[in-house]
Amino acid sequence: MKKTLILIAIMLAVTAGVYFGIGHFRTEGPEGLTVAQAYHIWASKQVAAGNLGGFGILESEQDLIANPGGAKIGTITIFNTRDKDRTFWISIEQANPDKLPTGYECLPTKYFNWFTPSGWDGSRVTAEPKVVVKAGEYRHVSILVAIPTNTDYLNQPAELRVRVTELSGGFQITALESRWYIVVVETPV
Amino acid sequence: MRKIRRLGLSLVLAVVLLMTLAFPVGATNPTVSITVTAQVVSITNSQANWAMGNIDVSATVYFSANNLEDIDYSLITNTGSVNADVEIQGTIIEGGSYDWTWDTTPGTEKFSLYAYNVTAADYTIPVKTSSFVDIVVNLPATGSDTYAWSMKFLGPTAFNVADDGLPKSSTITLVASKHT
Repeated sequence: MKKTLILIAIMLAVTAGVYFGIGHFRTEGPEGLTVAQAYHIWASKQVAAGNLGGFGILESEQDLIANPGGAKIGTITIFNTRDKDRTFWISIEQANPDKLPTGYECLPTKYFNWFTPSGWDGSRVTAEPKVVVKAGEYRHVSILVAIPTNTDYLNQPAELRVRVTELSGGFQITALESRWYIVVVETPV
Repeated sequence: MRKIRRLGLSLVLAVVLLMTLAFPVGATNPTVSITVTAQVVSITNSQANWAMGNIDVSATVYFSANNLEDIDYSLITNTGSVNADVEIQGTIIEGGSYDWTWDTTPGTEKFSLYAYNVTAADYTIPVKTSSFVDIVVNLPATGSDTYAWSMKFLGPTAFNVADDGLPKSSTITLVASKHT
């Protein structure tokens, strides 16, 4: 009986791994590279350009197709170069109305509460959307996307921005934005 | 007999679990599908500080090492893998008993701040405190193609007589996103 239970546990673990690996969100680098490989390419480019300072985000754009009542965790990956540790603030911002794709509009700010950015303190996700990335490292930031069941905002493609702002910049602050496109449809995705 | 029963139970469970894989429950439930375009957005800017020192009424001060005009003072470099649009926004100037607010032209406790526009060859890009404005569009992702820029500050035409003269400060934010 004990052996059977162990066998069942192993099968459940494998099934869960395959299920979540195939059917759910994963982050990969450019052209299917892993994040670590993408980071090494990016870091090498910084050195080649003679530019050792700075930071970057991996996801320049993200497409979201959502159903009312649906929820998912999206991520932003922040790269940091080797010159110093950096602290970042993650925020949800309005898109630039002059740069929208055809057929899109700025996601109205009243829907920004669909998005909950969370920081990471090295061991757990925190409620505060602030994250420290050590010199020469990269880190994922979680953004919970949860659509209310009774939303009336359907079938309208919209853009919003996820902004990563470096807080230790002094007079001149640098921020990077990922363009997120969302459409809420009633048909299950 | 017990071994056969165990084997049979394991096989039934295996079939059930494989069916779970083939027909995932999530496909019929409300969900959110996320597709990522994994390209790096990254810029650097060479000059991060600006010390104006004491300024007079209606002073004109430039963003440079010595506060004199230098239109190529600061360099923005696109170190990402995609062409980028870079926008700029400032904040009000805070400190002491009176804050200074931004306006198109200076006034009492009001300042103006413009970034250099290469196309117009003049300081025509308003560094507003209310919204971001393009400073450079479609900056190539070569890592070697830089954009040189500077700013021109026009100080208040009058200070409130009750101003305590304490230092004031402000920040400028450059925000980059993928050009489309």
